[in-house]
Amino acid sequence: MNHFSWAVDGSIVGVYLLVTMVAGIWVRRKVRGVEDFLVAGREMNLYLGIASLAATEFGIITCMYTAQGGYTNGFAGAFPGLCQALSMWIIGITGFCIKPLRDSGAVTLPELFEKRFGKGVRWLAGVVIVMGGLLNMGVFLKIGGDFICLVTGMDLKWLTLIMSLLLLLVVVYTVLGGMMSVLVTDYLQFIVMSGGMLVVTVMILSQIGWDKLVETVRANHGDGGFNPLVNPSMGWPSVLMQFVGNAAAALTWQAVVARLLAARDAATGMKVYTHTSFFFVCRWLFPAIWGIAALAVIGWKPLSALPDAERTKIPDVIAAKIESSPVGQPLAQLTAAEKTQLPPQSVALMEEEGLHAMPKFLNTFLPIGLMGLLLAAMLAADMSTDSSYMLSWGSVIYNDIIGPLRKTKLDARRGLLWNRCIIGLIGVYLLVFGLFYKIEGNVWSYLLLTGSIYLSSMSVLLVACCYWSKASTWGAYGAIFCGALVPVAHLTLEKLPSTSAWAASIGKDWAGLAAFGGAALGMIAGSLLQPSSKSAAQ
Amino acid sequence: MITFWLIILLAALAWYTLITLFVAVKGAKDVRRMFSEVPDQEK
Repeated sequence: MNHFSWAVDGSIVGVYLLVTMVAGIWVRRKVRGVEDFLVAGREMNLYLGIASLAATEFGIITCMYTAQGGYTNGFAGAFPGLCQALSMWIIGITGFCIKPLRDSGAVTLPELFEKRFGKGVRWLAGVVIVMGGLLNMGVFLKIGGDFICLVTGMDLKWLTLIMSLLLLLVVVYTVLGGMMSVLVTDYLQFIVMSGGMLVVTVMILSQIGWDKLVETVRANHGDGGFNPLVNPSMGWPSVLMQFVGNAAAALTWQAVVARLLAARDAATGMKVYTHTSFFFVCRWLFPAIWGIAALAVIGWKPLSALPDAERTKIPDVIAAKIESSPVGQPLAQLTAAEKTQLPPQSVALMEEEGLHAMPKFLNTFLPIGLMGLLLAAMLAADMSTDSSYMLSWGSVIYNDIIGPLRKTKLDARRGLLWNRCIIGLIGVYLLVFGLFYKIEGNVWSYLLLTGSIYLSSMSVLLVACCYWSKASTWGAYGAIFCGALVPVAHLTLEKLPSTSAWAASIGKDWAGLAAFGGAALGMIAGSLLQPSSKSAAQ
Repeated sequence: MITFWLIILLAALAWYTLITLFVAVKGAKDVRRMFSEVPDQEK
């Protein structure tokens, strides 16, 4: 039974949206120029930084893929959170790369690279950052819309309308107030989001119980549900990729770095990192608990995702194999010939069951009132992520892609207008991409792979820029080219019917690791083969 | 490993509750301070 009440829960959500919009729009009067718009005049203090970083790094998509991790891998699915927390804490406590970055006074990463590697590297780095970031962000709206439809019990045909409305609200306050609005709305959204997450998690633990969750994981995943190293779909490559990818994200992910650059000084930025680090354990573990609870209550029934007419067409032998498949992998036991007998839309629906299990469970588990709190919390999480990401990629487009091409600097009014137009265009892209692109396999792996298009090369560039005196412009080009080549090639091969099986056998983790290895090799080889005059002089 | 995850979960619940309260109170002060140091745009 659907527990969502439009009168009670809808009102809670309505009040939240109204308060957020009023606050976001009210702040626009503080924006005097591009620096206020992009880095809030560098006036961000510690606690506002914690709220903003945490709210930015937790959206509906985060909740969905971490719950999917819990559903399909048990507690081991929350392991990336430990890697992320450890990376953030070590970087924050040592100031590794982030201290010189903040001290440089740059607005974006590519701006720092220009000082060491020249204008060409700045421009190319900007293109790679935007390409990787927008590919990554392109799936946010679709998955956010899926969640809202499933948790409220609305038909999925409303997905496009919901996505458009949600995006419109976010675009309005981001376009008007930039980072000022984002920080203030992030603060409100952090409180709403945290309240919702804590209440839902405590309710699941009190009503379903820790013992039942543990038993469910043991029965469905065995030891692999607790230990990622013995989990067949994780193992060493996955664990290694989590450490490497998360450390690189903490150093170079523009949405994270933007908080560092908006901080009052380097010491405040470092504290934001250390104080927020444990949040990443929470942001993985709580939704993973929700996913495990979904498995405990509704189980793994991939055929139930299909309409009756589709389900009855599937031969009994195939249906039996699908029903007994490992959680989250409905086609794992089918032969190639058997797979061809299934219509693509049925396969898509069954593969999405691991992703949709958590909102379907919450739809019937939470009482009226708490449903509204949950939805407000998730909308808060999603809006803060979308606004920050739009601003982050918009800042790179303005500052590092368009900026270097202009001979004269824009005045404050025209600079703001450019930034606002760019954010509006990113919004249009998100809507279009979200409607047409379909993710293959695990969502988190997709995000890490698309992110590694730039995480690999940019992290290598940043480390070399800060600490390797022999790093040269040619090395920087080599790192950018090699780092982007592997993930782009893997994503392309995955989409071609003739090579999709081969790409799947390699896996996203190895492809991501190869991107980091390639970027490092590109930097070393390029720098040694063609030392720059500056580094040669040093 | 089960005990490990239980300890992590309890620590996460306690830490997150505390940090939410801290940020709710001190974050509001940060917002006020930020606005006091950034003047309104000229009309």
